[in-house]
Parts: sequence; structure tokens; C-alpha cells
Amino acid sequence: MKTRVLSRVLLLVLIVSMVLALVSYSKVKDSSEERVLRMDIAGNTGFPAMYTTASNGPGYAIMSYMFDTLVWKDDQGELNLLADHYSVSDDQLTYTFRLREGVTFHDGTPFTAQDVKFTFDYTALHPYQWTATTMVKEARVVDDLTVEVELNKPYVPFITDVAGNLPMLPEHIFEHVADPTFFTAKEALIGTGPLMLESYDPNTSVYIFVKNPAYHYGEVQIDKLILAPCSNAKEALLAGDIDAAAGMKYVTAASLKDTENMTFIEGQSIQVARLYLNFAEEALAAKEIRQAISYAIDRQSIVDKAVNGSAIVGTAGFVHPDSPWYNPNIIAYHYDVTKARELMVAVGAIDTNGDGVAEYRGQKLSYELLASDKDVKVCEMLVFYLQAIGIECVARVADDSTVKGCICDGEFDIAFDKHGTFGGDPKYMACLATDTAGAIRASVPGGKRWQNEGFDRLFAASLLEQNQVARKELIAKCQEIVAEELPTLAVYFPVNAAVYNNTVFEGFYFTADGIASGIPFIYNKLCLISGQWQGE
Amino acid sequence: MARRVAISPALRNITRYFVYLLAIIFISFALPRLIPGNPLSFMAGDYAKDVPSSVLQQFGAYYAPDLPFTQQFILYLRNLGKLDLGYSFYYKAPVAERIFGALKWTLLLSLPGLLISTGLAIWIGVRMGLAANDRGATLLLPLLATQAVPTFLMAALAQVLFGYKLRLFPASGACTPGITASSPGYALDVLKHLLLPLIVLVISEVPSTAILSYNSTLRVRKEQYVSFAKYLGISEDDVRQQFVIKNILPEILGKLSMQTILCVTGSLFVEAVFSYPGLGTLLKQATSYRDYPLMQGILLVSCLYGVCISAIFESILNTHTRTDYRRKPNE
Repeated sequence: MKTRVLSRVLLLVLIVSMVLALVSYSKVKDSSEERVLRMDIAGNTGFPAMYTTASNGPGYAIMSYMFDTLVWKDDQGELNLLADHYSVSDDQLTYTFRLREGVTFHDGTPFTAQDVKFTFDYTALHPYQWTATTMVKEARVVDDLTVEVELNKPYVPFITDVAGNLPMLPEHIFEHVADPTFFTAKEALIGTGPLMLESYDPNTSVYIFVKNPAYHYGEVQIDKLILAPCSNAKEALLAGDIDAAAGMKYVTAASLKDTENMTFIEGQSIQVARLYLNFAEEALAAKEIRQAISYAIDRQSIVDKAVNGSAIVGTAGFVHPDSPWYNPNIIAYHYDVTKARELMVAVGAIDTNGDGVAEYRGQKLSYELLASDKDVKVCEMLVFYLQAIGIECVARVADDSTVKGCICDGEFDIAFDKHGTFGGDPKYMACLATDTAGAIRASVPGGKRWQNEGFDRLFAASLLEQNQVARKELIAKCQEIVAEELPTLAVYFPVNAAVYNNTVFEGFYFTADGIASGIPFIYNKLCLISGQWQGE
Repeated sequence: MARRVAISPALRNITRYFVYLLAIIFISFALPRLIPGNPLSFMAGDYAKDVPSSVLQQFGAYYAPDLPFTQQFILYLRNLGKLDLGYSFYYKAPVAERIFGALKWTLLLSLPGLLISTGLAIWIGVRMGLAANDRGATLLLPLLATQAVPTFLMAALAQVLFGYKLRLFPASGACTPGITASSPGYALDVLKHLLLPLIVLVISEVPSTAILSYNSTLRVRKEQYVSFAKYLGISEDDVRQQFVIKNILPEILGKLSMQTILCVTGSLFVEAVFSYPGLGTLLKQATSYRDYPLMQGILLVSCLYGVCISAIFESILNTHTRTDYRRKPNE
């Protein structure tokens, strides 16, 4: 008897709550005239202050809603943000920034040259992980709105790398902060940016921003921005739960191309998917074998089949073909198994015992191919292509972090992985140089690496060359060496995509060369100023 | 003689749980250190260049990665003694704070899920078992079919259908973004967000327990005391209540104890699909960013929870089963 009563009560509770949900959910939708824009975010990106935000693209982008840099980028390229204009001395050592007038922090304090100086001084004491400021000798206040930054030695990418990346901190708040990496008070979020944080819930990973009514670069077109994680962005977008999906897979995004009210946009991902080779392996250290590998891999098929066309075929020179720095005259390495086999034979990598695997100087060409579990298809194809020229590969698949960790520690034979910051100024080529200063950690494999004096010399010279044309020539030569030597094989360059509801907001774009250091999402804060609100 | 018998099991139990505890602490200490890859290399992601020095110091102070393994372990024990689970590098917040923040959502989802599913499963299972002419067996197929559907698939289907297409429920999250505990209608909002994941969780948990109670009931109904109770004209409800359910309870409890333990991290798939901010989601995030302190903390807390639950269930089972009918013949 008791169970029956109990079960009926339970059933009743269930039914009542379902009906309740039905009735009240339908009227949840905001009826106010507030312009609320909702976007997805890939999980938690930490407390969004300058020193505490997550070390990933969304982490920086979200922080940049509240903090401005001296220069910035939009879809057309570079523009002055906190700087009104700037000039460079002839010796390339001193940058003079004239600041925009009437800029205030969120708390009303005026932004002055003193804050710029303070930021450079502060980052000298507390290194900022997004950009090194070690090349800065001194920042000097000339007057309230003019600041001079003197470098130790010329650093050509200073504007893109430092001025376009380093958020300006309010002196009156940070002068009292001894350790910014654990500073998570409300004041840690006071900047000059277009949005101010209303709330951040570390449990639900929901970020809510409100507009900064006094933004110096123009009127912010929305009142509120809500970023929340969303496991099914496509359905959420179609249902109207979110208005823009930044983190959608290319193929999913492309499926919404012809959907009513949805705008599909494409952009460079600033990423490279590449093969890492461990030079401690004698055979892989042989240039001809690397060239053979390059001929043996059908990159176009990988792009078509493994990633459904959401990428551009890799180039041998390690520069994106759309980049102004690209050298079109380098070796192309079109898929050619015969040529690859010839190269193998010429260098003495021959299958002597008939087991299908070649030997080089008495050693079997049998390796582990390390790849992320997200790249299993590519990995399978690579194993197949390498098999065809007598290189046996056993796929070892692990999660993304493990793969990156093994590459950084040099614990691999051959590895396939993707990393970002592959765009903009070609300083990212530092990952191929002996001196890797300026390259991101994920792009530099551990263990024995390729080293080439000629490349090192040319690349070092390119970092000092002030003349753009001459610099371009140097980078072109660097690409020639890389294409000939193949220290790494760029398999493909992924393409990003995003979809947004054009009846709510119009004017999202992919930033030229990515936001700041190359973040390939539509989170650019200036979209919110140049775009138009479409809702009623 | 009799006294020794009485004391030693208790003592043995305490020793056993002490060993469990030590093992758990050791595993939670060792496991993150065994994962390949240097944790520091993950702190710098795709765009960052260096790990901030103060983070390195903090890391060094807590983990002392250069010390020998045994000394690291002693340091870990000492920190635990101070209830210091460390500092999450990713969230820049104390680990304990993050864990308990997520734990409350997980328990909100999984405990009611467990209660409802178990109640429902016993009800279904017993009815199936007692149905005349084995009619109950016809339900077996749908139950097995439901069980065969992976939870995440069921969750994703339910989300698309009821959340996005029919708009019956909020499709993801634990509450409407922007609503806080102090806003009016918060409880209702949380309840609405809870329903769909809860229903999926219940549906995914019911079949196994229902089938278990069905089988147990089949066994019990063949016992003579059940038949005899029927001849005595005891009402069907009372037979079910007093003779069947009570006798299948030990088996159900055994199953229940395992499921209660799974409450902490077992709803991972449902949480992931519905972006529900529970412990499973937190663990996923901690693992993918190699947030050692957080991983260790979650491992430790969930294992301790597991040990506590199994201790509780063990004592319940012991007091209910051991006493009467088994011993009496000997004494």
C-alpha cells in the first residue's frame, strides 16, 4: 500500500513540475528593450583579469573586452586604439605615442601617459605571459598624453607584438598589487574597454558584461553581452538561445550556410597542422628522407577527406599562402610517390629483407606516430602514406594535452599536432630557429631539433631589418631554406567559421591576422561598436 | 570467546577503512604525477609564451617537484592535514572552493535522480516479478533496449527534441544566465533547468535496477513463505510490501550503494551534454588543462565520499541481514 502511495506522489510531483516548466518557460524570454547579445564560449576561461585569465584564445579575447591596448586590429588591419597616433625614431629605438584625449577608466579616473609608463614598468617586474616586454629599456612620460618607449635594440614587431597586445593597466589600482596572478578583486577588472564585467560565475562559467557608456572609440551598440558555455551551438542558435556561435566546428557551421536569418562567415584560423620530426632519429635527420616524406603525403586528400575541406593545403616554407610574407617560388612538393621512393633509394633507405619496411644505416624505419585523439583520421592517412614509401608507423593517440606535452618534452618519433599564433608578423618562425625567443611554447618541440646556421642568420637579421622590402626578402630566403630542409612539414592550415543570427546583430567579422597575437575568433570587441543592433 | 568474535570485526573494519584511506591519499597523490607531459607546459596555452613566475613559485611551494617522491608525499600529507587542497592554477582559486561549488550542483542533480530512479525501478521490477503468467517478462525487452542506449546519446536527443525543438525545457545550463541566488524566482529557474537532465538520468538508471529487482522478485516469489502468505489470505499489497520488497532489499541496497558512489562523478555524460556545472564537468576541465591540484582534489573528495558511502551501506546491510535467521540455528 505504502509503495503505491509513494509512487503516486512521486509521479504527481514529476507531472506538476513538468507542467510548471511548460507554463513558465514560455514567458522567460526577455521582453524588455535591453539589447542583450548572447554568445557561446568554450567552457571556463578563468577570472577575466589581465593576469588571471586562461592562457587560451578566448581567455585573452574576453579580457580584452575590458582592457584596451595602444593599437588594435579590425577586419581591415591595424588601427590606433588608445594611441591617437604614434611615430618611430629613425634608429627604430624610440616609439612616441600620442594618446587619445578624454579616455577614462571604468571608475572615472582619466587614462594618462603615466598609466602607460606604469604598465611597462609593471610588466617588467611581473612578466606578462602574452607578450614579453624585455626589449623595452624605459618608458618615459613626456606630457599627460605623450609617452616615449625606448628599446634596448630595434625590435621590428614591436607595434604588432607589444603595443597591439599589452593591455594598459590603471596605475591607481595596480600600484598596490604585489602579486597580480592571484589578484581577483573586483578592481582587477577596471580598464578602459567597451564592456564592464557584471558577473562571472566560476561554477556555471557564465560571463555577463554591460556596456561602458563612456567608451572612447565609439558608442557600444549593445547593452549587455552574455557568454555561456553551450554544448550544441547549432541548435541553440536555431532555437534563439544564443545569437552568435563563435566556437562551432567548420562543418557544422557550413551546414547553416543557407539557413534563413543566419550569416555564415569564414576566416583564417591562424593555425598550422604540422608534422614534428625527432632529429635524434638518424633517418629523420636525413634531409632526403624528410623530402621523401613530404612527397609521399597527399595533403589535398587529407584536407578533403580527413577534415572535410575545412583547411588549405600546407606549404613547405612554413608561411600561410594568404600572408603578404609568402614566397610563392618555393618547392611545392606535389604528391609523387615515385619521386619519394627514388629519394629514399638514393639515400640508401632500402627494404633489404623484404618485410615492407625500409632500413637506413642498418636501422629499421619503424616509428611511433603521435597524434591527438581529435586527429585520428589524419593520423590514419599519414600512416598509410608513410607505409607506401617503406616507413612503418604505429599510431599512438592521446588527448590533446598529452600530445602537446610529449612534443614539448621531446618524447616522440614523429608527431602530428596543431598550434596557433601562425600568422601576422613572421616572427613565429622563431620556432624553427636555434634561438626560439618569441615563439610560443607549443610550437617548439623538445629533444634534438633541426639547426641551420644559414636560417638562424637570416632570421635574426629579419628581426632587425627596418626596411619592409628588405625584410620581406629575408623572410622569403628563410622560406627557401625551410622548404629545402623541411625541419617540419606543414600538412594543412585550418579555416575557421562562425555563424550568427543577423536579425539580432549584424557586423561580426574575423580579425585580420587574428585578435592581438592571432586569436581566430569573432570575439573582437570592435565588432560591438561598428556593428548594428537589428532587434526591435 | 564470544567477546572476541564481537570486537574483532569492528576492529578489522576500522583497520580496513584506514588502509583504504591511505591508499586513496596515495593514489590521489601519485596519479596526476604519472600522467605524461609536464603540467607547466600546459599553463602556457596556444598563444601565451611563459608561465607567470608567481604561479611557478606557488607551484613549487606546494608540489616541490624537485624533491624526492617520498618527501613530496610527506609534504602532501602535511598540506592535507591543514585541509589545504592547493590552489587551482586554471581558476586561480582554492581547490576546495571550486570542488564544493561544483559538488552542490552534482548532488542536486544526482541524488534526486537516484532516489526517483530507485523508487521507480523497485516499483516496476516487483510488479513485473509478481505479475501472473510471467507477463512481466514482456517489459524486459523495452527495459533492455533503454539500457542499451548510451546515456550521452539519450541526453543529446532529449536536449535537441525537448530543449531546442519543442522548447519545453531550458536546453542547457543550471540556471538562466544572469540569475543569482538572490533574484526572485531563482529556485523555480533552477528547478526548470534541472528537470530535463534529471529525467534523462532517471531513465538511464531505471532499467538496471528494475531488472535486478525483477530477478530478485522472481526468486523470492518461489519461496514457500510467499505462497503460504497468499494461502493465508494476506492482501497482495502486504505480500509485496512485507514479504517481497523486504527480502529483495539487501540486493537492491548493494546496487544502490554502488550507484550512490557514482553520484559524484557518474553523471558526467549528462552534465557534459547539458553544460551542467557539476563535478564531472569540472573534472573534465581540470584534466584537459592538467590542473594537478584540482584533479587531485576531485579524486580525493570523490574517493572519500565513496568510502563513506560504502561504509554506511555496509553497516546498514550488516545490521539488517546478519542478526536473526542465520545465527539462530547455531545458538
